[in-house]
Amino acid sequence: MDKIEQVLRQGLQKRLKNRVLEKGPDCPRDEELSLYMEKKLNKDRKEAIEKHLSDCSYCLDLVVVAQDALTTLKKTFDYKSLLLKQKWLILCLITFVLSFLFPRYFLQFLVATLILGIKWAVGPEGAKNLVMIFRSMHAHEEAQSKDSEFKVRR
Amino acid sequence: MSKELVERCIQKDEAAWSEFIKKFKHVVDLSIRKKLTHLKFNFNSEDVKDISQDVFSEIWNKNKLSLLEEKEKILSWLCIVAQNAAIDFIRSKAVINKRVVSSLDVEEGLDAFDAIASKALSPADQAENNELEVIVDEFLSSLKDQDRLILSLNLYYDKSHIEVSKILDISINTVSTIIRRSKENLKKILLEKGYKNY
Repeated sequence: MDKIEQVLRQGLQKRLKNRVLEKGPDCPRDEELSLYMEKKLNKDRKEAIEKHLSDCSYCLDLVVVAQDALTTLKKTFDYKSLLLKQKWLILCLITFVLSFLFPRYFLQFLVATLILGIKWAVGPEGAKNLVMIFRSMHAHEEAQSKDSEFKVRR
Repeated sequence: MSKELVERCIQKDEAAWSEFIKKFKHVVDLSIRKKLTHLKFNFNSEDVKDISQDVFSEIWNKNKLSLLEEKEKILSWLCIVAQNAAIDFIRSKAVINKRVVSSLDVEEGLDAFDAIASKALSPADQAENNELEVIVDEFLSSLKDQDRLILSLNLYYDKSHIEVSKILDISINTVSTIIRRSKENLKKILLEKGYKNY
């Protein structure tokens, strides 16, 4: 960290640390801050909030922590939706593993795997994956055939 | 969908209220946890549960949802309300509160102005430090509000340039330029005043 950054950081700390746990009389309403975060304020109201935030650590803290919480929330949802998208593939793999763990029901599990596999393949995510696999196989075959033609000519 | 649920809650529909709590409990709890962690407050899951209950009962009892301008997007509002409740909780534990504040002061208040100059400060060095402090403060005051906000987010909250640009709804290039330019300007001012080591 360079020295300039260090003095700036300290200068900002001096200005901001005084009011960590104290809401001032000129602090905006909770909703005004949330509307600022949602980008729903017009230019004047936005500038007024930014003017306030630039010197009030209480409100700036609220915005920063709220943003942090919302980012975490979004990430969890993304993770969940990814799992949900691939649910048939996951179930298919689980039944496949189970077929080996319970040899008595091997065939039943295998049939379940097959059904779930088909379900995955005809679903939008599976179809997309399959198209990509076939395309790359096709490209690979073409490349190979060109290669062999080249060798024959030589 | 959220808007309809909120409207029903305003009409004091209890079924809608249960649904509301189920839907938003996670975000309220998350905000409380983040706030308490941010303020370096030791907490357990019971504390979070208590604060969370306070948040929801306050919203219901005072019919706070009816006061909202925008009923569609209430996630960020809930994050802020939850944090205020978390601060009230810390305040209610006044003794601990004092401890939190003083511990923050000790950690952050170690004067870097002191650290930069020398370890053992002579009165002359102390005077120089105070002068440096004043120069930096004047420089910060002279900045545009948004520029100062950008510096605070980047240097005080350690937010990356991308995060700053998202919070303030401006381009990442603007953020980078303002941070770079502010450092250069301060360097120039310090040089003019005879501080050559920056």
